[in-house]
Amino acid sequence: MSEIRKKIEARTQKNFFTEMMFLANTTGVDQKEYIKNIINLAELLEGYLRQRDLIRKVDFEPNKYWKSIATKKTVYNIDGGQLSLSIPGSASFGIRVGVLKNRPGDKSDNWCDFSESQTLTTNLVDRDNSHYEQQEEEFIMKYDKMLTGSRMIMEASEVIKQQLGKGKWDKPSTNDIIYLHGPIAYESTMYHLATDEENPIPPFKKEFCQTLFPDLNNVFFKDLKKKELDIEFRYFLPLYSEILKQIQASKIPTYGVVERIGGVVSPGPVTNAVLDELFHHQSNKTFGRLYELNWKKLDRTWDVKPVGTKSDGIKIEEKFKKRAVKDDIIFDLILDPGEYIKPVQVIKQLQKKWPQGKYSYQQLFTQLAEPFSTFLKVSEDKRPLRIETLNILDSYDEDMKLTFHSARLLPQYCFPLGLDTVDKLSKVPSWLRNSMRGNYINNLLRKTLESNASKQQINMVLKSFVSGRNWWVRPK
Amino acid sequence: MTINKWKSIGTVVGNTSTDTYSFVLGQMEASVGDIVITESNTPTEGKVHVWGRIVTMERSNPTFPNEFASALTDANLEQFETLGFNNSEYLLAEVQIMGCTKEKDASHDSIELMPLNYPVKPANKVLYPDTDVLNKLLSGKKEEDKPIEIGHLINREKVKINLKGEALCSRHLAVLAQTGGGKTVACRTILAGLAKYGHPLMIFDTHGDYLGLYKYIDNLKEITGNKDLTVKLLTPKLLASPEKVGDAISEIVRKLGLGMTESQVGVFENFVKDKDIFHAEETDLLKHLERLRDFINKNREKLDPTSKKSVNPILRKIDIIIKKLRGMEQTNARLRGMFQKKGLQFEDMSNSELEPHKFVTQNQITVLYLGGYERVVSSTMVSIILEDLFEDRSSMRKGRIQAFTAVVEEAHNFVPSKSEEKNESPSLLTIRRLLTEGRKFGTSVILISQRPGRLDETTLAQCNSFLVLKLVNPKDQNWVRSVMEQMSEQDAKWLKAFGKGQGYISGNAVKFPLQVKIKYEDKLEWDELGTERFIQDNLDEWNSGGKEDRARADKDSKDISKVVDKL
Repeated sequence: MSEIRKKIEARTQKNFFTEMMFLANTTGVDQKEYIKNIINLAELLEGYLRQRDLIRKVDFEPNKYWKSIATKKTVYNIDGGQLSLSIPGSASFGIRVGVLKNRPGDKSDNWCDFSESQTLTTNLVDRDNSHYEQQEEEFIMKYDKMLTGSRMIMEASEVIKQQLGKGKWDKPSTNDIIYLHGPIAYESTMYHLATDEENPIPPFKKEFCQTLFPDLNNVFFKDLKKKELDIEFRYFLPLYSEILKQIQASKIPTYGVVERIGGVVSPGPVTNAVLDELFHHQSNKTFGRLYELNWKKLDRTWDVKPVGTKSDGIKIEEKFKKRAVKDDIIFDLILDPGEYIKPVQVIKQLQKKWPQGKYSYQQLFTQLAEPFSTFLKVSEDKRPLRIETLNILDSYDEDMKLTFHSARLLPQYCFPLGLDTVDKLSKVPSWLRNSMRGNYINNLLRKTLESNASKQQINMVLKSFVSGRNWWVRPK
Repeated sequence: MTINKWKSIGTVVGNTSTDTYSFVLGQMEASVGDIVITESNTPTEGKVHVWGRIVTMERSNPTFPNEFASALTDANLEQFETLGFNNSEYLLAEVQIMGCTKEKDASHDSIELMPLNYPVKPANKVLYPDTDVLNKLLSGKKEEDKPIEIGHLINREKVKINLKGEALCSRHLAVLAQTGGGKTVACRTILAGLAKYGHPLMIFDTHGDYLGLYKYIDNLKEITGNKDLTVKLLTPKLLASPEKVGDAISEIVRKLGLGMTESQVGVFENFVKDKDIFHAEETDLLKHLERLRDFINKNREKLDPTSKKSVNPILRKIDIIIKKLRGMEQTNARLRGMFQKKGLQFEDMSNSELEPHKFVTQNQITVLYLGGYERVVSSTMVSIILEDLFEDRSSMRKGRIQAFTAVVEEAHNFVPSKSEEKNESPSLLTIRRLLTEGRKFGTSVILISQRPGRLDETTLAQCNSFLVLKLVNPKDQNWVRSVMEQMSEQDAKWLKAFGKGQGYISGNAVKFPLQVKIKYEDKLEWDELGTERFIQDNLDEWNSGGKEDRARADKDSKDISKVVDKL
């Protein structure tokens, strides 16, 4: 190769550092453009929301507020914790749901109390000890979904338990409030999978289902009772739907509070609902929010005159679709501290995802409880919280006041203190997880050694359970 | 051992060693200073009970973040007015392991510990031993040890702590505390304990703290149960036999900072060597000095012209010394006069060289009241007396004085550190000698000081036992820790937090280093002395005729001025 060619090749060779610098500079320009567009969208939406009086505000008056509710209100906070030992040969996990009860201003011992209300210890691959019914030989675990699904229905059933006063304490009054850490309703079809031919999740065991309902005589979906928790109703979807329906039927204010907003859909579900409410631009013939509302015989939430034409709405929606603007980003820009938007109904259970085939539950689908969502901005430098309820009650604004003031008790974290506390009390600490795992492996090794296992068998156990970085296998 | 009947108060957590372990304490069932037990298995001894002392404790509530506290403060609210959870608080206690015992050892009258050679097992229960077994462990109440009850375990009134009297009298003790920490009360308790056995005590009392023992001798007899007990109060005096008078005067001249030039020293020593100057029967150093002054005056003409030049400076210095000593003597006399009015009787001090038995005898507490004397003079007196007593005791001759304990108050003035530039205190070497050699002859010392950092380190290191009460000065704390091998970092941190009469005791007078609450014997407290209620004293005096007296004096003064003006 001639010298000149070598020089040219050397100069065209990409240098990692210079490439990164180049990337930083060029994306910086795009970033600026992106922010400019989001600000424009936010200003536009904010203008419409304020024009139609759809943004409400809570004044921050902590001393006055807390004294005003002293001994008049009981606050229930619910959260679940889970411990899972994902070890080859075992799918053990435990779930516990804790409830923290506070009566602000009560100087007696009634001020606070904690109840580890529901617990579950189970092993998915052990037929006798699992809370799933495993009849199929070809059963394949969907461990994460089974674990999360179990926790979700246990947390939600705890809400009913507290609403009905079937836990440690008496029935709350309508002046009280129940908070659940996380969404009040999840998109549930992904945890169902009963009809997944290739990879089905088995039904829950009857005994487990019975623990979910404090009062089986008073269930919403009558078939559930009639068929005495027949196998058809022991899948995630019917159980969860029933639980949500019961939560919705209660007159006790009940809210799910979400701190981290997941998902990548733009516009996000709340923005999508807000745009539809402002522009009435969606069609009931094509798949979308209005289409879903019609299926479930629901109306739009806000009774407001559209702020523009359908075509305006479609254009704005398109702008959102082009850019990754999640709900929390847009409402972070729209809202000032203490502000929240008037709650709007959001669709979580989509018709197109609803199961077909053996168990389709069509009757359930049309009666599903869908949540009303709002975003509440707690402080200037924190993204707003998403707050969901299945039932807008007269106390809604008063309840937002409590939510806001509870979150301001943690001025940096900006999350309702009661939920933060119950989260700490319920979650399973890592030391327990580690020691359980260690204990499990030790027992297994001991049993293997005691059984006069061959060297190959012992090696297999070690390879299966001990990580490649464990001291057992590190160079001596 | 009846370990199962003891209350379980916590669970061992975290990493353990043979020296320490931590446990999570349920409720508030023990506190710092408490003794706790946990069971353990060792490869050599099998199942043992591990004894330990709680040295620190941390309390935390993981559900009460700092930012919540800040929000409450900003809003002027209390936690109960809002939300949260206070039952998640927990206490984490750190235990210093004292040793272990085998199960069967509990049946013995006295429990002796052996070292633990295998760490405590995490997750073990921690138990709160009952008073009986703790008394067996801690009391050291063997009669041959001559126990002295000094108080109780800091948080358990029923668990008595005894010092080994014999250990105190064969070795030495340092009592260290800042002013108001309870030194005097602690020492009185220890002295009363020794007095119970009739052990002779020689107290050098700078502030008169121990004069009350004379006043309340009947109470002391009742408390100690020793009906033969006597308390002798001595008037201090600088004494020296004619043979030693020259050296004594030279020493005092030098120590009082009145150093002489070489030529002056030569002339002075020539005079002092003349034994005829000093009366053979006289022992009072002041009188010797006066005679010396008169002698020099009378014989100055006989000197050669060069020596004559030194005479005047020498005489001036002797005059200064006489004046100073006279002044100190008068101040001491005035102070004694106050006490005499309150019923105290002082005796003239004998010559310790010639009559050591008058200082040290069975059933006698001798108090030399040094109030009013400057440090150097006090130090000289202490040095002379202790030197004489030690000489007599160590002579091993028949009829020598008995073994005794010397108590030195304000010890930093008598055994000062080098940094204090008082290394030439006459008593320093004497006391150091007693500490190093005294063990052989039964001449023990109790050093008491509120500024341990100013004490001579070598001397203090000879003390085998320490009682340290409240100490706030960080320099003193660090110094104490550097001298006391058994004191842990946590114990040192506690020194500033001790309340009055609370302290840390270690050394061979006790079985283990412990935190104690010193027994307070109010029957020995002389409240007419050192109440330090000067504002109230002023008010009382002013309201009981002082006001009228002052008015009268002012009027008289004006009248006199008028008369004087007319003259």
